[in-house]
Amino acid sequence: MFQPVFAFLERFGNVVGRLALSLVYFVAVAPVALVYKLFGDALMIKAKPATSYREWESVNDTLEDARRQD
Amino acid sequence: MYVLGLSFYYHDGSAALVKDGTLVAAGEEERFTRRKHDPGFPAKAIQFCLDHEGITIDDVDYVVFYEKPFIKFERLLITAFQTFPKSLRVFRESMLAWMQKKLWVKSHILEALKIPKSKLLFADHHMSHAAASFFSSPFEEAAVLTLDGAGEWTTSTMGVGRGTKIEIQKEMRFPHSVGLLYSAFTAYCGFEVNEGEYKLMGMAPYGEPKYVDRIKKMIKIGEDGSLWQDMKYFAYHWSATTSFTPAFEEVMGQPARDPALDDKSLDPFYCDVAMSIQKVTEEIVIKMVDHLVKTTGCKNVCLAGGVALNSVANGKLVDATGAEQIYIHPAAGDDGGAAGAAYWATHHILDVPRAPALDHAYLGTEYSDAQIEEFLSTNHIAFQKYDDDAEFYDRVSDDLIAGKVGGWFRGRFEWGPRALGSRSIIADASNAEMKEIVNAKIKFREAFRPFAPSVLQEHAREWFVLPEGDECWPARFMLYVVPVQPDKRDKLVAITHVDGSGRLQTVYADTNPGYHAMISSFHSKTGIPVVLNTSFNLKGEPIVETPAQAFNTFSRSEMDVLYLGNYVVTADAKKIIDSTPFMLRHEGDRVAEMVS
Repeated sequence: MFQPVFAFLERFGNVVGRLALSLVYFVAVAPVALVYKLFGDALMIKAKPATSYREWESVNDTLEDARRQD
Repeated sequence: MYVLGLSFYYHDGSAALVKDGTLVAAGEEERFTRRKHDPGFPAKAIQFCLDHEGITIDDVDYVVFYEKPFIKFERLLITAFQTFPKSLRVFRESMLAWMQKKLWVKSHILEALKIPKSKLLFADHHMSHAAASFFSSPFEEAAVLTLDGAGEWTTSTMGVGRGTKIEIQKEMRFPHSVGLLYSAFTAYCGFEVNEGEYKLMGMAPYGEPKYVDRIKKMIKIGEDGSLWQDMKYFAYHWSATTSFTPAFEEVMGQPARDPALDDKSLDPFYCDVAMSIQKVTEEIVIKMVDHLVKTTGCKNVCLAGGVALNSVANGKLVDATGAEQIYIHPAAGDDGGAAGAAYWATHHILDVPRAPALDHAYLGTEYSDAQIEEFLSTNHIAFQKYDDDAEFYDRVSDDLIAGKVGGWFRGRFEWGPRALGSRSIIADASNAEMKEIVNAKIKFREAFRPFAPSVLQEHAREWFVLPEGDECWPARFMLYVVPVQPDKRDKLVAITHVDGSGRLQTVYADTNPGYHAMISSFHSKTGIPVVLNTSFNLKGEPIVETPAQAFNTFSRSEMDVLYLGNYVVTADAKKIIDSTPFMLRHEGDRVAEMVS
């Protein structure tokens, strides 16, 4: 009986979620992105290095490290 | 000590259980849920692992997730910054997925398994790959190379494994990725990403490497094999739907192949493209391995990550580089990340001594004679049982010689994407019609795709050209493509690919005695120690797990006979057991899913 209602709410939620995320993209992401594009190149798009290998940065060698998600 | 490794929420959700350094049980969730490449939380696979050992989750010392979710999330955000404003759609789609599920991996695991926080650990994605390969290898010391689409930031690493430690030295980072480069060409040639890469590899021998120069206009390969991609040709870092740009098509000279064509044409241009990207991939992998061997001094090399499933490249490594021995975990992709995470915690973190090498992939469920007989009897399926093993193998080899195609279901199912003689469809490799029959009437898949040979290990070198001195570990897991001996090609017509190669599986009496004995019986009658082996599933279906699934797949295809253990079922008994779930999934991942 409630299935069509739940289906509608799910679709509605998805649409609202996408609208909200579009808003976040243009309001919150945009200012950071505009500055970042000027000074940052984490993706190495601009650079053309002799090697794209770099030092391994992760430190994850103890139980304490391993409990972190980052 | 029990350590449970998990991988999920990307593709191929999996669970793997390591006991005192030995991988004792492992399985992909798709085998149980019957949804191909099921990325969901592997509840059923976990339950299987625990049941196999007769333990509960309380007996597990640690649970390890195969990557660090927050680092991947950071990569998505920074990628969105740098590709603003083109990245709107991919940002929106990936954030939805992350908000709904991926950010809450920790709480999801804690809630589902009811374990304390202190027992939950997180490995780095590429360390999971490296650990899967090195810690299951026979090497005390080895160079380790990982290569896949993308982990958190990392797309490739180089390092060294010694004893219970792995030291990763270097990494290559997103978006520069051998795996994603190959996937871009998979999409360009009209196949689904994270699904059609095998098809591209199978199509390559029909072409010539005419477009290597065009591909190299879009990338730069370093002396160490490192890859830099000119991102104006690629779109997977900002697009939710496509992995390459119009500029890519301009360089390649033709528009992308229509995906609707699927296997319906073998246009020479796209075959040439397939061969060209295969050659470029091989060049990269060979340079990487050679560099790694030279810089580390280790001649034993462990490979891991999805690119390590490129068995054509693997087959060339020993001859083309300074490596002497290669080891690749049977589940080299993200499914194997579950095993790698568990191995990593066991050895690298907890310093538990290593166990003997993993020399087989038979780590899944198995069904006893009593269970098989109960299934057949309950469902009123006529069968013939052979109490004597020798008589049974004799029957099977006679069937194959008579041109029959059989479903072979015996022992524990295989860990990884390959069927290795536990859940296999088998046929006579010397019968010229078999390739077409099995492709068209049984697997319902692309006519150009080759079949693999299972060869008795003791006869492998007589029939295949294997590198001198190489113990050929990857061949145990069907991860080597090598030439068939030229004088044997006319005897192995069903498994010899158009370029004279075969993706062999070496069969050992000590790890799969039943399969070995059956092929030996075939060998004694025909002089050929090889059978055709392909996975026991239809196109789009996960490999069968239970006798009921095996019976239904047998019934849905034109297989002639089914061997469930020592029970033989013939085609006149075919029918569908309705209560057994059956689902086909042909689509791969969307681009947004591929990178997030």
